[in-house]
Amino acid sequence: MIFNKLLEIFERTMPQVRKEEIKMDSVLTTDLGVDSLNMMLLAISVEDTFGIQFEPGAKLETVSDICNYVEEKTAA
Amino acid sequence: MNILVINGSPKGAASNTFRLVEGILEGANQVADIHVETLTVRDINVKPCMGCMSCWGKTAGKCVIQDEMQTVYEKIMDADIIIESFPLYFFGMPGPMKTFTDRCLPMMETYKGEVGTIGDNAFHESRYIMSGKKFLVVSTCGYGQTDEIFDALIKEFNFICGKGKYTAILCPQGEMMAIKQLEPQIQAYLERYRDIGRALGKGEVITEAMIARAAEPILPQRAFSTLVNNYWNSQG
Repeated sequence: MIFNKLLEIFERTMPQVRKEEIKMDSVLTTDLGVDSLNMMLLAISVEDTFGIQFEPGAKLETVSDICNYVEEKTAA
Repeated sequence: MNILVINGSPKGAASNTFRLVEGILEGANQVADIHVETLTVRDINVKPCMGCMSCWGKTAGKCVIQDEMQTVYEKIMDADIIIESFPLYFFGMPGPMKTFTDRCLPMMETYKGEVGTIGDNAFHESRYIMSGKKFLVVSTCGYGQTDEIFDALIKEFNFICGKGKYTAILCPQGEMMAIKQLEPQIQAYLERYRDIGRALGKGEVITEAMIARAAEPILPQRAFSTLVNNYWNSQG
């Protein structure tokens, strides 16, 4: 569920990344080419979509990091 | 299909708005045999209207100023589609574009003193037959929205052409088009403009839905706001 929504967010914010390339263990920077600007777009889109806020210093290195973070925040 | 593009941006070919028009042209080119001529207003010799009103009297329909505008009138009459492209400057069209627009007065019928409710209708009848032509106004603004921001410009075009006689395609966050890092997002966004171009090329109606999609911001509002703030902070 969260992963599927994340795929939609990727499609909007990083249309250059093909859906098939996005796996749970994908590293955002090296596997998907996320740079600082993309990270900001992704983070804002995830926050807006799930109604959460990333705390400064949150560990977001892989796709699963984002999914886990969202799961934790929305479950609370 | 003759398309005349009037690029009224002071940035010329480097205009962000013009990128959107290039998207439209690309779409039209995919489905139709088009011939495009682009006039870059800042680079042509168009002197300001002097308000002599000869074009409504002694030389009715013709401007007395002998400059490049004389050939522009012919190009307008030869075009099937006219696309004006310019950014919003301080809630109106940029200076060179206003100068150009003022010089289009000879194309309007003489005003003979009537007073009445105008609404969104054209104030003047067109002096020449323009009914077979399509007229697009494509404009970007640096703001995060198009609502209200473009009202004065739209009112001006309603007075000039009449509502429904032209199609306004308005885009917010225009400056984002210049950020190289956003190129993948920009290319995806331009597909909306290619859609408009394909409709134009096929002679189809540019729907309200297409116009609404073209007016959606390229970035989420908070991302846009962050980038704008970062930019101005970097400027000291």
